[in-house]
Amino acid sequence: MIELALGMIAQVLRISVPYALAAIGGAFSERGGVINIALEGILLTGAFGAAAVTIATGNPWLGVIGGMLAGALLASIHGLVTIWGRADQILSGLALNLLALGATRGGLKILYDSASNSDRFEGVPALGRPDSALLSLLGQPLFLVAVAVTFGAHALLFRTRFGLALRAAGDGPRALDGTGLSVNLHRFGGVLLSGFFGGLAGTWLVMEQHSFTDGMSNGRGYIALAAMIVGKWRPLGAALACLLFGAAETLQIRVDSDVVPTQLLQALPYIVTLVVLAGWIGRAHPPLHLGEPYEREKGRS
Amino acid sequence: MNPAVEFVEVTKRFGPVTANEQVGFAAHPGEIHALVGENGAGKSTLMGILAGFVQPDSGIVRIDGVPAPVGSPRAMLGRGVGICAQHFHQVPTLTGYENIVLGTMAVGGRKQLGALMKRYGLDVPLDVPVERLSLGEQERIEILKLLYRDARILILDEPTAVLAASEVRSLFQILRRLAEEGRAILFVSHKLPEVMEIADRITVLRAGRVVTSRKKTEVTEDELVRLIVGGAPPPPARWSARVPGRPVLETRGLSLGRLAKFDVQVREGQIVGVGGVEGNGQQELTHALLGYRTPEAGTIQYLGQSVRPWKSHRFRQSIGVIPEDRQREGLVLGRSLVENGVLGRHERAPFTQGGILRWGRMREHAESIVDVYQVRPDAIGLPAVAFSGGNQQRFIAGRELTKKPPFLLAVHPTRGVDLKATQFLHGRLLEERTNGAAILLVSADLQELQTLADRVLILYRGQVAYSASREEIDPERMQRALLGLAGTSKEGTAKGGAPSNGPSSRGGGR
Repeated sequence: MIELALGMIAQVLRISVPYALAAIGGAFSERGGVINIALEGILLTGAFGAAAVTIATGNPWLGVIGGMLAGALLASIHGLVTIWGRADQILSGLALNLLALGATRGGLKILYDSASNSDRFEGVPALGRPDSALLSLLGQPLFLVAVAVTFGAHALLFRTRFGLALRAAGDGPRALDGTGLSVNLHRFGGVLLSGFFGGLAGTWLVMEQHSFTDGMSNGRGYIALAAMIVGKWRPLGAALACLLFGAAETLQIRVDSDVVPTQLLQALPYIVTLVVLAGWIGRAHPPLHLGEPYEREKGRS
Repeated sequence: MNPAVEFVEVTKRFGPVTANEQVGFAAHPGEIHALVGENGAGKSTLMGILAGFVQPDSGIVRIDGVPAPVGSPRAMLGRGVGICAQHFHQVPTLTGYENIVLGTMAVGGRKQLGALMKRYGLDVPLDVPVERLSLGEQERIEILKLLYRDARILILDEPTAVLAASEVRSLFQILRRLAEEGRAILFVSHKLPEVMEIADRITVLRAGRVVTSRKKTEVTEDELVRLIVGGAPPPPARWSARVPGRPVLETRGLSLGRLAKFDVQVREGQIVGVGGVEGNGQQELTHALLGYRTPEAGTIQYLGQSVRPWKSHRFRQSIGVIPEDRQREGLVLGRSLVENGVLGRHERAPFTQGGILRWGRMREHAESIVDVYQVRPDAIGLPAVAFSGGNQQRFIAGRELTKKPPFLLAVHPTRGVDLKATQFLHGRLLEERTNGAAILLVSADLQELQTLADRVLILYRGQVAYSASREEIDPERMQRALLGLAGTSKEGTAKGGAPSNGPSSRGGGR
């Protein structure tokens, strides 16, 4: 019985990790003022990058770096286009998601001559071989990295000068500009971080599955955005929301569908998000200048 | 000694509008230098240039005799320039402390801030998000921010607009002290008595050009007015006695937030003025009237009918409103005057027929407002954002008054508006009164209340602290009530010189 419970906890954590990483990434982008629905594409690109580098080099740690860089590459396009190009942030995100889907599909064809999946590979080796499901998860270096990233991200956002400036970029860009710091560079920093985190989330997926499959992000980027909102744009809050979503997904896998329709459990993250957005569970305030490019001379007062 | 700041032939255009044209003058260390002029005269743009937010098209800005790189807040900050802008450059969600240290190495910040607060008597909570502070407190945070960076050239753009008289006093003491320390202070204001009191030197801008820059002792207030307006000033609005008609709007026991049991009656041809230091229930009053928030208790009667919360939409459409925040509540900034001119009335004749907009009529309407209310530039195709604050206000007033509403709610109608526009708007309000409109005027400006109102109520902590008809206003008692020093308001209400049974303070309790 205890074994079963521990197994479930392990499964919840395992499912939650990619959501949490991506949601934290989203928080960094949006705290700076840039909407990032490209998270879905970043996840996918990150997964592909991690798979390609791991297969090419045989070194999964290089794969991790490759995944993060791939995510950051896509994010930096989003940043350039929306921050300096002042393009609509939603449209840019949509376009990049479509681009990521097409590009990874093309990559599969070119590199592995397959329409559906890459070659298989070994992920990051675990530390030791315990037999309990929970212990084996705790022995996974990437899991430890994810936990460290979660707490580190929270500290970065709320305990450092960069974090303060980033939040100012989203909540009062003019004030930030007035202090002599660059609004655009800080925003770009936030978007870039969302690329690293989102790429790491994709890396986790692909390392778990030991191969890349077409479209494997499968909406996780959007759920991560929902979790970010439920977590009120705070890394720890977002991670907790992801645990909730992960628990729902675990239930959906484990519970027989006669009792509760699985569709209902699948919809749970979105229902929770709507409830939060509507203000029924404490109000969630998005960053005040979310979605607005910064123009120094706009408004003459 | 070199001037602290020297403008040399500075020119800035925004599209077709020239904000600054060949501007040149100098401000010296230890000097409080006032910059005056009408709305749109180019004061704020010039200060924006000095702070680095606005890139001039041509010209030089010298700091301490050395040309400064323009168009970069960072560079100007490095040269010792600090700005307390009209709309504070603050991050509302961050605390005062965070706002102050933002962008600096915050080592030992607290200690240093504590010392500054003590030295200048700038007491203000530092650990609360600034959005929860009053405007006066936010301003103190801004000034602390400048001092924390040890700015030697301080720009204060309309710093007294949001302050009560007592707060203005202490601000002036601080400014004096800063000047004595050898800092140069650029003080932008509309309020000439304040300028005459605090400034050492005065520069007048008109239509983007410097008209004169001279010592205060070389100019009188009357001369200043002429220089600002460019000729004789318009005559002040004239109030004349008039017998009010039937009641138009009446509230009984209206309570919302800090506003407690507010009673008022406004009759045809009557202006009732509500004054007080900001944040004493005025906003609750206007929000309750407009139905933005549902009152906790009390009733609103309009033309003998009760205004229910779910009918407030209808009510709003039938009255005129000059809102508190013209840019947020009064205009759709990105749209043209043509469209803004029918805001709230676009679904009615003559602007719409069978659900189709009649652009010709809309254009004519906007033209006539621009014409009658002297909105400049007279280009109805431009978006509302392209107009200066005073011209936006003229347009809003025009739109609301051409409705010929039985009831008009005017909230701070002349805040941040220059003398000419103020007197024009006052004249229009009085004209509407003569035509029989019932007007509720909310204003922080006692002068304005005394000029326009038939009856004045002063709110303090959500309660009527003073109430008097025009004839029996005692300026000193009114001032004391404003600050919460008034003992009672019994006399004011009991006498009731006005013919109507007028508004009464809540003397009776429950």
